[in-house]
Amino acid sequence: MKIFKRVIPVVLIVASLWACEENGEITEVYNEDLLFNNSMVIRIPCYEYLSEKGHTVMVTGDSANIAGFPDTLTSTPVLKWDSVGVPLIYAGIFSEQILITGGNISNTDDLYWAWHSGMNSGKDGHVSYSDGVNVKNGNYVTVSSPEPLITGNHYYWAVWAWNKTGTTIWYSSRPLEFMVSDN
Amino acid sequence: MKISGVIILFLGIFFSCDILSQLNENGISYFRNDSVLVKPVEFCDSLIDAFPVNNSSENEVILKGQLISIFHEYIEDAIIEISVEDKKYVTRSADHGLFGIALPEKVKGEKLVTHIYHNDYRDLDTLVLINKEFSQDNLIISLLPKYNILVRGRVFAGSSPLEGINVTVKRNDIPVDTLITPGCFYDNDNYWNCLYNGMFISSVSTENITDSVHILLSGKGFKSLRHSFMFSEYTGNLLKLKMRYAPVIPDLSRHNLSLRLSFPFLTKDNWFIDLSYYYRIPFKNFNRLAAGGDISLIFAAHTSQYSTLPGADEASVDSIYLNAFAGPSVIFWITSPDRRYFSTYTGISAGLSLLNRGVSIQPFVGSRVFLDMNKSLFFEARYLSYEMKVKEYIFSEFGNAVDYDIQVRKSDILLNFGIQVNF
Repeated sequence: MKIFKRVIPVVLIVASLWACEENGEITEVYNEDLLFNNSMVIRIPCYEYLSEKGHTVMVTGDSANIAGFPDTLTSTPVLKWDSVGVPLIYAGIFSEQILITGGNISNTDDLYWAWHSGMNSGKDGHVSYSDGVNVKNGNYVTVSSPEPLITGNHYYWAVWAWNKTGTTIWYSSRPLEFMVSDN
Repeated sequence: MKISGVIILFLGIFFSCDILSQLNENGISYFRNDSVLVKPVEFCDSLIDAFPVNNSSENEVILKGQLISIFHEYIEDAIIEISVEDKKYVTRSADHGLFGIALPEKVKGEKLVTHIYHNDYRDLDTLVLINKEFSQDNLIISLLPKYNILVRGRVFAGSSPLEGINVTVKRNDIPVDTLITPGCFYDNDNYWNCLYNGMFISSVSTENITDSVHILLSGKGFKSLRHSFMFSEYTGNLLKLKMRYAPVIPDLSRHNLSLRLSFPFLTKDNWFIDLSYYYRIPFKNFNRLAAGGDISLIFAAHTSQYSTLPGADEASVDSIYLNAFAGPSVIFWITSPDRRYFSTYTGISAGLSLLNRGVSIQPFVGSRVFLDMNKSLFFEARYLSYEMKVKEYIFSEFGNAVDYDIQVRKSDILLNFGIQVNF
């Protein structure tokens, strides 16, 4: 009978551990600068890309946000970020400042261009403008190449990603403002 | 009446008796030829020796003597029985083997049939001739020791020593000792002493080392066990005798308490813990129905699957939900409940959900195997059907998923095992 006295507590402990395992909870974080405050950071480094005219465009990434000077990008920019290696990730360019209400982006009508990991082209951490699609009235326009951004306008872009079950935003970048210029 | 003297001669005639040759081989002679007045008569295991007789009164004579072994040890507590006509005169040897016995005067000149018994010595049957002259000398009688062994053993059921087992030790078919194995006890130092738990010890003597020793064990709820060996085979080691349980529990208790467990490899995805109590209902000779209560906990897994980003794989969320049920339960024993092995039962529990709404009806069938007299293991298949509230999710491209609760019905056949205590 001694064997049962030892086995039962072990069984109960294992049961408890097993029951908790699938929840996948992470320690709660708070990053005020990020698009989603309760997420972990997706860093946007300084990088360069070649415009369609062959010019090198400098993107200062997170530094621009910190310094308060928006980047100037071309109308078909290339977006880069440090990959966080999750299957569900989304990048969007908004025509207005991105607003968060109740843990969700509320001004989805201002979403002008989008790319996500379900699309065939582009990859996590490096997306060309042509890899994504325009969004009109909440729908993805997939029948044609995306319309370039309007020169002279200000836009906001950000990247966010979910946990593997897709229930919670685990990662997000700082929302970065930029101006479009053809030069 | 004046008795001038008595001479007693023991004439032993070893007629077809092995003992004679054995004694002679050992160089021990029980014959003394002085004052032999009577011819030896035919008698088994006889001894011839000198004898003294004193007059204590006019009506009786006193026969005095001493019993010693052939190894010159005094023999105490031996029975000396002398037959005079139809009457028997009996005495017992005291310290230093001394004995004395008063006989009627008429025995003078008579041959008296004499028997001497002692557990540790060979029986001696002889004739004593009472002479008419007095002597102050003791009658010295030598006895031949038997072979003696101290049989020690411990009785087990499995690896547990057993107390309260009846032990009968026999030499050939003659009972020698009847014992009951002791249990643990508080000794003089107030320690719980289990040194002699289940042990027995018995002294067995014989004249022939090819004799058999039989140890018969019996106890309630156990099959009888007989262990036999020859005297010459016994090495003095502790005998470890394992008894087997009888196929029927002798006194099956009316109450039982059970704990059941089930794991995901025995079920779909559920962990199951159940505690139940049953009382076997007395109804004349029908003892197969028991009623009681059942409390069960179920850790049920539920997977919520939903689509995410267009073109991306579906996502799934595995969650564990706790359900608890409590309610009445009945058991019917298909085979007799006092069977030790594979006593099979069926039953049904009606569990009221403690955390969700609804009632769970749980029919089950199982089989029980007793480990000892009141503890058993059992294996059971239980059908479980119940409703529970689970979360489902709707993916959002712009933030956290939206969750909502739905009520789902779950059903599963749980294979579980458990332990039961009857009391």
